[in-house]
Amino acid sequence: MTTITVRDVSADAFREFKAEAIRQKMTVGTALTLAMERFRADVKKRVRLSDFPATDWGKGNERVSENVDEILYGDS
Amino acid sequence: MIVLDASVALGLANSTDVHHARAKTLLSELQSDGSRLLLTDYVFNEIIGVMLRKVGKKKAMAFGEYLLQSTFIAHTDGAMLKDAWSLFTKTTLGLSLVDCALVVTAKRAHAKGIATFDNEFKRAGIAVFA
Repeated sequence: MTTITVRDVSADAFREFKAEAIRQKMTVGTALTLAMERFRADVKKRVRLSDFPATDWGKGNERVSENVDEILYGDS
Repeated sequence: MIVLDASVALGLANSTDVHHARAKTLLSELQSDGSRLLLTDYVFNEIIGVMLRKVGKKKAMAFGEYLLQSTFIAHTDGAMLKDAWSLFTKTTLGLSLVDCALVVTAKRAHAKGIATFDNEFKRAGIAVFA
């Protein structure tokens, strides 16, 4: 747990947020933590890993995905 | 929740990898199902390490940034390392310590399974998506 100071927060939005937290029998800190986690999850949902623009790694690298241990740690 | 192995991530990043098409389709299907993608810090390190060696820092950084934005990172703590080490020392399967940490993470997170092209995970009693 940590203590933070946040600038430039909308007073109205914070008042409503705090009131909702109280209605839900939560501390503002707990509600804010949940809101931050939800925000992160939403952002990650929008960025789809499968949309990554793949690049050609060149000849000889066609089986890199199968040879991770050999590449990093050598033959054992 | 699905835990990603390095094989799938690297297959996705390299357009000429033998597993590229399958990696792209698999990840697309998993995300369409609403599954969250989880990456262990050890596997993230492996992916970046392989890319540094094979294609250099610029491409490694670009993919690393994308992974951080699109997946959840599971940080290995002392208890998880202990469990992973225990599995590593006992298993007769061809699993590295990183693989064992991945299995431990998947079990702790109650993940649906592991997305991997490494068949060894099937023998570890974990559901595999490939």
